[in-house]
Amino acid sequence: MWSSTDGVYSLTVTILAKAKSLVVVLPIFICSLAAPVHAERIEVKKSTITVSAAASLVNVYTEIGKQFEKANPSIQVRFNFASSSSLVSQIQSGAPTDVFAAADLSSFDKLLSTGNVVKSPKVFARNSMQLVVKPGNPLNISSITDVSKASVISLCAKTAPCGIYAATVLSRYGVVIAESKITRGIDATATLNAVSTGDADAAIVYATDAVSAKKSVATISIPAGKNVKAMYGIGVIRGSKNSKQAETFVSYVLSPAGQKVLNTFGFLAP
Amino acid sequence: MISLHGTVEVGSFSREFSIDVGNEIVGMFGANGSGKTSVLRTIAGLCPLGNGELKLGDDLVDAPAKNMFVIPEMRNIGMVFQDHSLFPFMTAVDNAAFPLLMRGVKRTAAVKMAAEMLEQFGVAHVAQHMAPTLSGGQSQRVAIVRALIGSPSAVLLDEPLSAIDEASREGVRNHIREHLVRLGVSAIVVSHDRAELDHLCTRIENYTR
Amino acid sequence: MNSVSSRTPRFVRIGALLGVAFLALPIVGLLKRVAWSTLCRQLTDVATRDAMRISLYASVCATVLALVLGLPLAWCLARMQFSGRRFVRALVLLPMVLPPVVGGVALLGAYGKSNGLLGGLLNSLFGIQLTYSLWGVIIAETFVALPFLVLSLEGGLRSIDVKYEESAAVMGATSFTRFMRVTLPLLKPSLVAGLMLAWARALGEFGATITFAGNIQGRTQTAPLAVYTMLESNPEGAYALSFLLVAISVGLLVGLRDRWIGGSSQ
Repeated sequence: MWSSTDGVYSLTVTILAKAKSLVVVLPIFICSLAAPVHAERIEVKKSTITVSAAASLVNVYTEIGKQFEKANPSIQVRFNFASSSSLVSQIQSGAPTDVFAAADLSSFDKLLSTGNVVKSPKVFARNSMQLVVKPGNPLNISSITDVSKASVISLCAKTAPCGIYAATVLSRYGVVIAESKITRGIDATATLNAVSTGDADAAIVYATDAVSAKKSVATISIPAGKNVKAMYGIGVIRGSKNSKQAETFVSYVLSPAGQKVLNTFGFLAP
Repeated sequence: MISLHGTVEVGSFSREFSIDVGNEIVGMFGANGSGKTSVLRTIAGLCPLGNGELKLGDDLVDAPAKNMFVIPEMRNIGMVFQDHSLFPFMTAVDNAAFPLLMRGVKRTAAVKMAAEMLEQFGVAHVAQHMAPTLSGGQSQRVAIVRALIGSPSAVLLDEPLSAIDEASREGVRNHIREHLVRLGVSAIVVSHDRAELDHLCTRIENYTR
Repeated sequence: MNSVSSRTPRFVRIGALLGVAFLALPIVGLLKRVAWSTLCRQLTDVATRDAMRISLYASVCATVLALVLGLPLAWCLARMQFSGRRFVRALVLLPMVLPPVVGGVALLGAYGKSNGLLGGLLNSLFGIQLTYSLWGVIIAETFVALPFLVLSLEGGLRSIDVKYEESAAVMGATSFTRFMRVTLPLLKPSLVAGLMLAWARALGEFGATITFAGNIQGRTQTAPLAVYTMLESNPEGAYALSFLLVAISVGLLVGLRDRWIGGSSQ
């Protein structure tokens, strides 16, 4: 029969014995942490990168982010989605960002001139515009030419890339829509939502957004001759505290793995 | 003519009352809590009777058994409330003129009559003062004027002289009696001051229970 | 005036100073960004003028509509006994706690042309569309401003001593006359404070407006929407309009002075 004092005594002896062995094991353990570990599930110190991306990339980049984190367990990705033009303002005001992915290349021109990036962006995808209307096309809109049948048309902000692309498409058709009929969405997603959940009759949005909206809108394609080639650019922001990890992410987006995801969501190859 | 025979019920208070007032000034004497104010409120129509009947003149104005109740604004009663209840956002003269405006008298005529009567009761000099700035005695006199001015068919006065200073009491009392006699109406005065009732009223009822 | 309550402890004073600094710094920062030399030109820009015109018109209409809907509501909450009272009060407070965009989505569900409960009916029967119109702006602003007015009025109605209305009744005032001549004057402080708060809230609304009424320059683009839109394309104009809105707000608060806390002016 063990008395309690015996129990405590032997427990103490056991702990001290273990402690002695720890003194030997601990340094080895710490050293092993510093070495690259592949197969073992040991808690590694994670670094986080912030990726500011155009609103039209919300679905595809979230998916890329998941796959990237699986492939690079030491890097955690945090996304910040908004219209490319407002992201440019944010970055110029000093918002901490590691990677910027824009729906056009002129956003990067602006950042180059203010010194927020030092080199040209890499083009990682292409997109085009499409006309979306209410399911069933109740107003019988056949193309951009009769888009004025709609009483309210949703477009992006005049200075946002998708707004500029839409304006280009309209000018190629020679169609002018009165400002009093245009509602401007704060980003590409909101612009589409005006038709899918709101009361706008038509919107000019990215083809990829039209695809992800599925049955909530009807799509009218814009022929390639009159359509635009939206070039999406990606680059690392100057002053990023995790530039190495940021470059890793950029490489991933450009890699076959990243390109495959982009393709699945309807983006065209660069 | 006031004729009340029934149960006065206000909140948890309930008491049988029987009172008949002709062309006279009847005093109701009793301590606080005996229900005197509740009786006045019931006669005015602010509280319905529990049961019984209330007649003003020849008209039945409150009879629960017959489902009959005449709202206060149709009863043509002048009332001096215990705390005066002058409208705080009006001047003394506007307060006094209010019952006349309600009876359809044009504004200028009403204000003129009110000013004259305020003069009689010695408060003409505060006619243009806002009600909250008046002293207790002044606001009570304005309240008395307001109760008497509209040619009411019955007048109810709840502690009408409580805030008037000793020296002026007699004068105010006399004015009240003068007006009541001139109007030829039934009046009930409630007070815990026996001596005051003796001087003002023609008859006194005791409600000390 | 005793010495215990009149002496404010130092830590309280420091805390208050921090609070003041926290609130004042952004205003100062905003004023610093305004380009004073181009202020007039920016404020007379078409987009800015349109935005101010729409904002002022819609916010005033919204305040009036809030009064029409809110006064009876406040009356019933303050003076009537009815079952479901707690539910009604929660409903009144709901727009205050809902994120404004959610409010906009909810409004679409009710008054949207496409699948709104009432909106669909209005459209198919009368061809009326509330979204993307000035009326849409007014509806969105009324939705968010109504609670402020109801709360203020309800508080005011509760605090009125019923004795004044009683004495008015004895003097021959009908219920309508009592309301106009006695209740309203007594309600004036709460009414004014409530209207000002409701108007300020309506003026500043963004999320519900943009979701329900859209962002159409010259038609539904209110001042807050214009500031947001101009932030990228014309920052100078955005700061100029922001300055104007701050000036209006300050003017409003100075006009209210101490009354908006609901107490007597001191």
